[in-house]
Amino acid sequence: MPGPMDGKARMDRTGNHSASTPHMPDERTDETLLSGIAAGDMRALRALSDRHVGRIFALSYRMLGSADEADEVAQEALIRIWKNAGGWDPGRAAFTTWLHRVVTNLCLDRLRRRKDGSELEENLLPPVGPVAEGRIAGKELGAIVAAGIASLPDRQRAALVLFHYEEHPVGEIAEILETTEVSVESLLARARRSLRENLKADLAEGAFTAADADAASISGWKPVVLKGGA
Amino acid sequence: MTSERNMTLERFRGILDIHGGDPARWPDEVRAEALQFSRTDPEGREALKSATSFDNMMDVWGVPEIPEDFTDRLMAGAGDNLLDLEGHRKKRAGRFGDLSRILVPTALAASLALGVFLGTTGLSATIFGGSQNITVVDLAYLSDTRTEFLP
Repeated sequence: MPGPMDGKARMDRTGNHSASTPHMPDERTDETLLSGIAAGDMRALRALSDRHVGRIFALSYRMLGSADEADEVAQEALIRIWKNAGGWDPGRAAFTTWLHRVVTNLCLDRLRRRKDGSELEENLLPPVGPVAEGRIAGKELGAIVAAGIASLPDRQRAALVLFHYEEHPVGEIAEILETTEVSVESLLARARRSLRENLKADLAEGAFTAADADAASISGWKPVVLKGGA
Repeated sequence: MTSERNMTLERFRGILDIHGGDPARWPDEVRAEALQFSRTDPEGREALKSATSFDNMMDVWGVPEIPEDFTDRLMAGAGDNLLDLEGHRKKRAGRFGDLSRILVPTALAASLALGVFLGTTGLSATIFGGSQNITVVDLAYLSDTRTEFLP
């Protein structure tokens, strides 16, 4: 089960950061804090939020491609914690699994609503600018990856984000998505294959040289068509 | 027991498609076999290299920095909802609390009074069939099977 500091380690690995906090870290377990929250202790809610908000935000951001929406989801998740702390049953699931299920479902709901026509997903993602002098900088490459992941079907996207970025094991993802491990494996395999194809096409439109690969620490990435850097 | 000969390129690519290029993320039961395959099979080695690069490429996509006071902002933003919920919770607890303060002692007192009344007046024997010798055990089972005492 991922511990409270796992989010920080993970963020560091991917060049991001966890939610740092000006407050002293609370040593109490998630379950103890939940008992406090159930009794109306706002400080317990703050401590639990400080501990998990980095991961909540990162997961929401990667699911939705929008910092504003990730903000809103984090807020909704906080309210859910406050509301449900009293009925929390530690025997049923780890708190982090439950929390990630809540956040994932909030994101999937929003993605579903977008498909109903309220918002255009492409507008929410960072624009991929023109490739200057045939080079793709790390930031632009990040935007291309973001767009590629955003183009995946919702549950494939969720599985990939939870596995690759959030480093959940397959079994936990099955709990979060309320499905079987075999289904999660299928979602992951289809997600990677589709993403590879999407990125291959997107990157082929620009130029991607060995220097770019080095800059982005992705040497060895093969299925890219070079256009000569013109 | 499995050996590297059981691992095929297709199976190895399947593992990479699901779990990516980091052997630490591969299932325990295939890790050694898959690693061995990636060392001995040239195509396997290339497939692993490509999968690792792909993972690294995904890592290029970062998450915007969140401010140190992010929790404060969230708490402030959620404030009204939290206060509403808290008020509702207290109100509900208060309502049931008041009710239970009245109901529980009343029910206990009523039970006691009824027991004393039945015991001292011998009314229970009248109710349950007159002269029959009724024991506490009989009464306890009354609701289940012992209906012969009923008038």
